[in-house]
Amino acid sequence: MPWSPDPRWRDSDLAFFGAVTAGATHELNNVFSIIEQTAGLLEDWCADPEADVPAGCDKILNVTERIARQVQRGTELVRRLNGFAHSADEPCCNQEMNDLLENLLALMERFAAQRRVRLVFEPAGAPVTLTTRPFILEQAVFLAVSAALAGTAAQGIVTVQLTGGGAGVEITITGAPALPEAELPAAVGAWLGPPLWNLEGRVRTAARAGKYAIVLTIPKISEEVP
Amino acid sequence: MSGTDKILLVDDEADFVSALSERIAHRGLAVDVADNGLKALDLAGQNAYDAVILDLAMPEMDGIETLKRLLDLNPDLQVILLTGRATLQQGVEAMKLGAMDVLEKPARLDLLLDKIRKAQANRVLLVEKRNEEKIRKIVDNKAW
Repeated sequence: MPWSPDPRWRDSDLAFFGAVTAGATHELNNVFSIIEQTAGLLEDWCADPEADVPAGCDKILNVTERIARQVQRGTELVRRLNGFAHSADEPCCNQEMNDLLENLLALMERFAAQRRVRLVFEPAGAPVTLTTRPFILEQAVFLAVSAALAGTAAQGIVTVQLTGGGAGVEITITGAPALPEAELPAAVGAWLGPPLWNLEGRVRTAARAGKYAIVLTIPKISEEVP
Repeated sequence: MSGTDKILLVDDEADFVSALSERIAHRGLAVDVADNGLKALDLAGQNAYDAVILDLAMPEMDGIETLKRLLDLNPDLQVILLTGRATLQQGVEAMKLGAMDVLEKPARLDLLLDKIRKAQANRVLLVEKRNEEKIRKIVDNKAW
């Protein structure tokens, strides 16, 4: 089915966790590679008496700025990956939804960039705390956004909007389809079944006039938080 | 041994390309750069390279697809995949397709330069082999 992301992400929590972790660590490898080569460049200049470096303080500053930029990028990635890993700490808890989605979607930016699609998050206007299963919720959103990315043409935009409050939220994923719109509901329904059952949530899809929407409705979970 | 002393570096990380290309150039090799597979194909169609250093994960056309098309264009091309995310399966696939080697990022420059030198040697051997084949054909046709 063309809208389907990697089926392993649906069938196994571990595969989903692995996909997000692999994406982030790949980014970290890039960060380390840039730092290594940029630091090496400074070494080359120091080792070469004919290098035009003394006159090029700006050149050195430019290189150290590059290193600082990559350190910042790496630090941010580690912070986000750490937040993601800790979302599995409690099976069910009170969760601030803007933070959860912002973190997950930032980790998904590379998946979007690979498809040359821009991922945009529109948070709720105020903090939204929901009693839910954060890790499973992340899996559901990851699957839905992955489907949207798979169905969107290069240069397109996928928007994720959060609305609602403590009784329940709606996460609306919209974009312009490049794939047959008629196949969207069956595809999304097939993968989101198990996580939505665990979240006591539901999904509905709509596609018309060259646009699609995947809407996840996630209520406050009935289980008591310890 | 004489090659073109020119390599093509294909990666979408601008800071990485900038630093690595300057370091390689500092060691006497000319470096062309491309930030995606399509540009790489365009450059490889117009220039002869001793080696292509190719990232695996790039937008639009990934490294494996770029590798396939580069080798369709020139089967003798020596392609070294340099990637932050080579699974064993991807590495095996790349080698089966005809990549010269697969290196994981971050890779030390001396290791990469060793691979480039090996690519230059491979390329010279292939050029000599093609020349011998041409000469043999001419000799056979003339029935000398």
